[in-house]
Amino acid sequence: MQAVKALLCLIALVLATVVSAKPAKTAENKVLVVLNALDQKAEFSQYLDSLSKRGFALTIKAVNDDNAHLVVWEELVYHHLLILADSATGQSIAPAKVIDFVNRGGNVLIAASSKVSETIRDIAIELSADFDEKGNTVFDSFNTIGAKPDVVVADRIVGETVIVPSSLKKSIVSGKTPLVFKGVGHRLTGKNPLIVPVLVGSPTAYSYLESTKGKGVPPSSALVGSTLVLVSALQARNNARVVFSGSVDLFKNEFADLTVESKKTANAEFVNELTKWVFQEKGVLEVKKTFHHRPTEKQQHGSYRIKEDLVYEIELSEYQNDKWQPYKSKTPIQFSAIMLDPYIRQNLSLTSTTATTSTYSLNFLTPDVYGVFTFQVEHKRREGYSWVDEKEVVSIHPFRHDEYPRFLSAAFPYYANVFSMMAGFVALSAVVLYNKETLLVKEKVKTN
Amino acid sequence: MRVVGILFLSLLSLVNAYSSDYKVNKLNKLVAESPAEPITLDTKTFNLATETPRNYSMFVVLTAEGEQFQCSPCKAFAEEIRLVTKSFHKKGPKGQAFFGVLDFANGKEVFHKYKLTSVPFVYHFPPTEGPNKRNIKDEFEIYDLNRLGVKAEDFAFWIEKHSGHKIHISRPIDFKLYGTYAIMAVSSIGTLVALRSQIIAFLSEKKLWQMMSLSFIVIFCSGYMWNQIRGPPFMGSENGKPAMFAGGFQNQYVAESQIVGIIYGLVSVWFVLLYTQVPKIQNTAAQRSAAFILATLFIMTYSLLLRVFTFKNGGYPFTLFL
Amino acid sequence: MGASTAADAVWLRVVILVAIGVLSISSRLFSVIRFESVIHEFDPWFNYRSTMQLVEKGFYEFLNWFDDFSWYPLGRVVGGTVYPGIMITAGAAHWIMNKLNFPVDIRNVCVFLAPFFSAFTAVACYLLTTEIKDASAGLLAAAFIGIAPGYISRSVAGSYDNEGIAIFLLMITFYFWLKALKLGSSFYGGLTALFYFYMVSAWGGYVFIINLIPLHAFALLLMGRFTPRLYVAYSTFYVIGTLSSMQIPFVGFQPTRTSEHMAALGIFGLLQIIAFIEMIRSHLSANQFQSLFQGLILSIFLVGFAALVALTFGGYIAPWTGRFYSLWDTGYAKKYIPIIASVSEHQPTAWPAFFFDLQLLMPLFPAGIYFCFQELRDEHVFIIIYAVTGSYFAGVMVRLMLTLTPCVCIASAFAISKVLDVYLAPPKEVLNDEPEEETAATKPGDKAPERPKTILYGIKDFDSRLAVIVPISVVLVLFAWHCTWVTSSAYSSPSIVLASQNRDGSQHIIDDFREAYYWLRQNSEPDDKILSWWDYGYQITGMANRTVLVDNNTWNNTHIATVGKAMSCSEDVSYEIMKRHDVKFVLVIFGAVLGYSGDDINKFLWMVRIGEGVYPNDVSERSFFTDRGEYRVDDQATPTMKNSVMYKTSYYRFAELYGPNGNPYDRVRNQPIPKKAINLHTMDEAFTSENFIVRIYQVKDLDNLGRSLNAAASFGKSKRKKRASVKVAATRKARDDDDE
Repeated sequence: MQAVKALLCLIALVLATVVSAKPAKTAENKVLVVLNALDQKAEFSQYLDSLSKRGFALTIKAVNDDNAHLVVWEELVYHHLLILADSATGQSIAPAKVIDFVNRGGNVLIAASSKVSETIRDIAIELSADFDEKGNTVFDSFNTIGAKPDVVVADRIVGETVIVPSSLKKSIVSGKTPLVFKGVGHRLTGKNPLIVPVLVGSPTAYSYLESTKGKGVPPSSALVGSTLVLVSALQARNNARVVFSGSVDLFKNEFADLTVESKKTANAEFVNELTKWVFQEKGVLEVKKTFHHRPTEKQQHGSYRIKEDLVYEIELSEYQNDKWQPYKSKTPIQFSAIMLDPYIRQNLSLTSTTATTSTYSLNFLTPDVYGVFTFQVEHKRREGYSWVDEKEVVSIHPFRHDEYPRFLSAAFPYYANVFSMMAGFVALSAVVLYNKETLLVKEKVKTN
Repeated sequence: MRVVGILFLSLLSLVNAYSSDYKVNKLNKLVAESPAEPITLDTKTFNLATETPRNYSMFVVLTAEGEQFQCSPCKAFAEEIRLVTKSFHKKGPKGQAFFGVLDFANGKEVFHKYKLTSVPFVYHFPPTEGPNKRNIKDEFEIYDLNRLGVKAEDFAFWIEKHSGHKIHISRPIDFKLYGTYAIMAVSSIGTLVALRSQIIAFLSEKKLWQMMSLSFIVIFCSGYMWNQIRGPPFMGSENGKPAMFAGGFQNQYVAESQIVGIIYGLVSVWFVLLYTQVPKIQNTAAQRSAAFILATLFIMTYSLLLRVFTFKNGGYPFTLFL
Repeated sequence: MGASTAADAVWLRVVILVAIGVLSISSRLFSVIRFESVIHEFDPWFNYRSTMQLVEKGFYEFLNWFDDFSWYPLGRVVGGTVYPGIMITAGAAHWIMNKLNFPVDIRNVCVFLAPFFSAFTAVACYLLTTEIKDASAGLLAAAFIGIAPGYISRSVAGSYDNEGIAIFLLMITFYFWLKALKLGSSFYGGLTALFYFYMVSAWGGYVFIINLIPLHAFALLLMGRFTPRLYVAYSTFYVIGTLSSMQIPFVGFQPTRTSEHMAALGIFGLLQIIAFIEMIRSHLSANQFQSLFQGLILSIFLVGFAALVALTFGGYIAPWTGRFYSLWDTGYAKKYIPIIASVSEHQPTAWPAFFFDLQLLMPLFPAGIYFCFQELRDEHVFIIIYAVTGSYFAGVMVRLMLTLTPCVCIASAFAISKVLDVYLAPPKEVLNDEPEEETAATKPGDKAPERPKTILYGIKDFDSRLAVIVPISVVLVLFAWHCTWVTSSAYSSPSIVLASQNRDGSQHIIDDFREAYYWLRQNSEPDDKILSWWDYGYQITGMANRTVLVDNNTWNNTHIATVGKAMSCSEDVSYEIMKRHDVKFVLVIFGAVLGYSGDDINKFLWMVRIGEGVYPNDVSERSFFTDRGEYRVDDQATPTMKNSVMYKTSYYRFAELYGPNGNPYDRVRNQPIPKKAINLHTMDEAFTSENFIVRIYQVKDLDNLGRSLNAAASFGKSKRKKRASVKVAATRKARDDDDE
């Protein structure tokens, strides 16, 4: 009996810790780093140290370590997964486990090389990123460093995203700080709307099987130019983030320390920005509050009348530079009131900001149609910010019986009609009632 | 491999070289010959008109009007399809829909191809290109006359639903018919006026109304409307023998409902006689025997009804005598 | 009653009536005793839910109730689309009892409302029949209506539906109408209107009254029976009745704008004209104007009629609504409003149903009408018209048996009571008004028997009395047995709880519906939306307290067709529909395991048909039939059938139930089911009830990683083929296909 009690207490305790263990942003800091072998640690020391410095608790394991569990009892053991091992084949990072990890909210960064393993390829293809076969390497004879044709300078950064800040992009594109890449390319199959390329090959870049080098032109199916994706990023619907990099060397000390024509490479900064994005250190949006109310009131209802003035407000915060800041969107944020089809779709406007939040709001008139509407703010842009999809179901009801106008000016003839009728009835009754007897009496008198 | 594929494709396209416009032209010409009639098709023209690509709707009536088939719906529908064709070509958009008739005599191959064993059917081949293009699962849609009706209006309703062409059916005024109606109306009004006192006397006759009401009630309470709506056979057959009563609670034959109606009537008649005739008899013995006979008839007829009902409803626990 | 004094007779009547009332209540309690005090079937659940709203939130909140739990996302304005009579009745009963310190639960008030009103119906029937004949016929009629299965079918305990109180209102309205007509009393006319108003608030069948009474008045006019009494009775009834009926929000301006109500208006106008002419005539001595006046009446009538027709064509008066129109043109509903045709209550009535519901009364019904013709006073004319119209409607729709039943009870009570009067009373002397018979006995020699002035009318012998009384008693007893048997075996099932017999004869309760609804209540979020066929809408909102897309108030055909389409299309097509409607769970009823024939696969063709009516491009009924025109679910079922959501969700993992070597067999369709496993990729099985009757599926969210659901579902299941390392292009293609 005692034992049972103790067990119950224990379970309760565990449950309590589980519930309270929902970590704040800064607390989500457990990272599993997977390396080909533990002794490779030194090759990544600069990169890994920068992570530790930012407060991440790193656990470093080798690929063949099957005791590195990502998820135990349906709870995440680590918050982030960093695979810096091109030959990753281990049980602990089997595709199903990694997918499950992402679905539970874990973030993943995978770096491969031309020795890319089938495990990595299988993970990637699930997300519509198709790594080239083992042995294929990215070459670019026009943008290369010295005599190594497989060490290419990549300068095609796609789009304006929060992943690569514009200053960094500018310096990479202009060649002020070159980005050095060595490894395998991949392509996006185009079936996944969530994955975007971050870094693609320059027009002269191509992917080629190294062993067949010098035996003719590459096959027409080879990846070339901008279809040859070097780094791509995916943000899942639960805002978990995944990055594929074709080059594990991108992260190595060697490339960070490299100087090309006496210019220091941008590798260290690039991987740092990349990692910040993957590990939710930037570009993270949070909806602090949504609020809809009548302009005259300060309280929210679940049901409004048709044709009523309403205010919709949404408070947004962006996590940047280790703190929450007001989010100022470059693209318009739209509000929709949807009942099967959108009845209202308008841009919200920024009305106020506090130290940490910004408030967007809209004044609108509820539609002249009753029904159950969904008030929705769906802000999904390819800028690398977290998805914002706030939905709230609000019912819009018709006029109540006492909300109609009591008297209609158009109906005055009818009112007049009614009252004259009533008066006439009373008058007629009076006439009939009080004249009848005298008539009868007169008749009687006559007959008599 | 690829070369072979290209060759094959180009061969295919050679075979399939008729464009929509070519076919529309050709069909329009056929229509212009006799605008009030559906195009009479044979296997060749059928294949031409229905092959892809099409930018028009093709409606083909598959029928067999030959005497040996004795297909009365075919003949009935022939009139109606003529009406639909005429109404469409009069007002409808030119070249967007065509109506054709393929008789079994002209197109045996087509009938074999579609494994058709019964007629008439209407196949609709919707446009595969152009602004009205529609994707359907099969090559064509079928208008099932038995289910959806033989009338031109029914067919036009279906056409509107399936191809978007609204066809206003204008039935030609049949002067003969209206003339007959007019003569009939005038003569009947004349008769009514001439014989009005007799008719009023006749209509004031209580017995007439009594008979009408009673038979109406008996008929309707014995499942007449069910027969009207469901259209069961007059009698069924079971193991080759004719069966009066349909098995099952939800089912009945026409004969059966008539029998039940008669039983209702009989029970009522015995009962009414018990009240109207028996008490008047002065002779005690005669009265007694009349009462006994009528009571027996009453109870036996009613038992018969119960027996019949027990047959319909297997689990029914009550019977009398029979 | 001959010997007893008048006062004794009254007491006796009261006691008998009370006994009949107790009998009619208690014979409706089978379901409560056998199962429990629970609301039955489908519509009553909505009525129950509305009553709760009324009791909890008050009358005005009920009047303005916008129900966002049904017809998602359209919602339903309940206050304006409901006949509130039954809810208000139950609410008032609940209020009164609570004021009297009887703390009765509102559920029990609802469950027992219909039985109590059946006792009132018996009283109303007694009163009405008393007007037709006398108190003894009245008592017989009361007894008949108390136990007639045709009425019990809609008024057992738990059947909390409009009809439960509407039949009482129908009878009491007719009673007051006859009373008003007989007395020419505007007081009774007002009472008629008052109960008519109550009826309007309670049931759409009020249209029967507002057409039957004018028809009666018209028949009386044609028979030349215009009296000031008729004028007073009808005018009071029509004016007060119509004005008050317009106070019901659901009815609104219909009494002035729809064809259903135009007959009453026309008769009202006609009566005014005739009354006017009569008045003029009574003040004029000369007869020469008579023909002129007749012409005037006729022409005014014709002008009025033409005006009505013109207004109808001009669109000011709505033509007959579909529901009523389908009563006249029986093919109409099947073609244009399949939703109405799909309801089993709207099917025509075969004769066994008549006999099942009325038994003895059925063959005696014509006899009663015959006797009505023999007497043919105003009230008998009424019964005749009621009988004729009632039989027609009952023949067209099973559900309208209900309106015929009281009339049959009255007519046959009339007939039986007449016969019993003769055979129970001693013979009496009456004037001999028979024509003289040519008797052969008048021989010239004999003294011609003098034709008696009076004859003895009646039954002289005890045994001939017995000969008639005994059979009548036997059939009456048999009728009582029949009624009890029918009530107990056919009409006392709550239909949300099923019962079957174990091998040892004991009862086995099948409670799958409530099990599943309770599961939903406990395991889904309060704002989850449930997709099911409309039959179960009221039950889901009532019992599971969750939002549904469609329910038994079939007001929006398009929405129902959308659900029909979602059920009959392939998974990917219906997934889009479900996402658009925020559907979280799909609920289907499946009877193949138990042999429950009212399941969704049997209703499926209606879903297809209704879906096809609105989405002809996406749904085609034909593709659900095999080449031979059969509707099959076995391995010969058409691909469309096998790919439909309804088929998949019904038979998902059905074969596993029979083990690896068993032969899965559908006990409803009597067909073997293929053993091939069914794959669902847009839904997960969430719950299946004990006997597989209710199956609930959870609709998956969009894939978290942006894959198609099909690809996500097959992830990890299919082993990817080992790739040859050279054929790059081929592998890419394979990868793309896998990704599909």
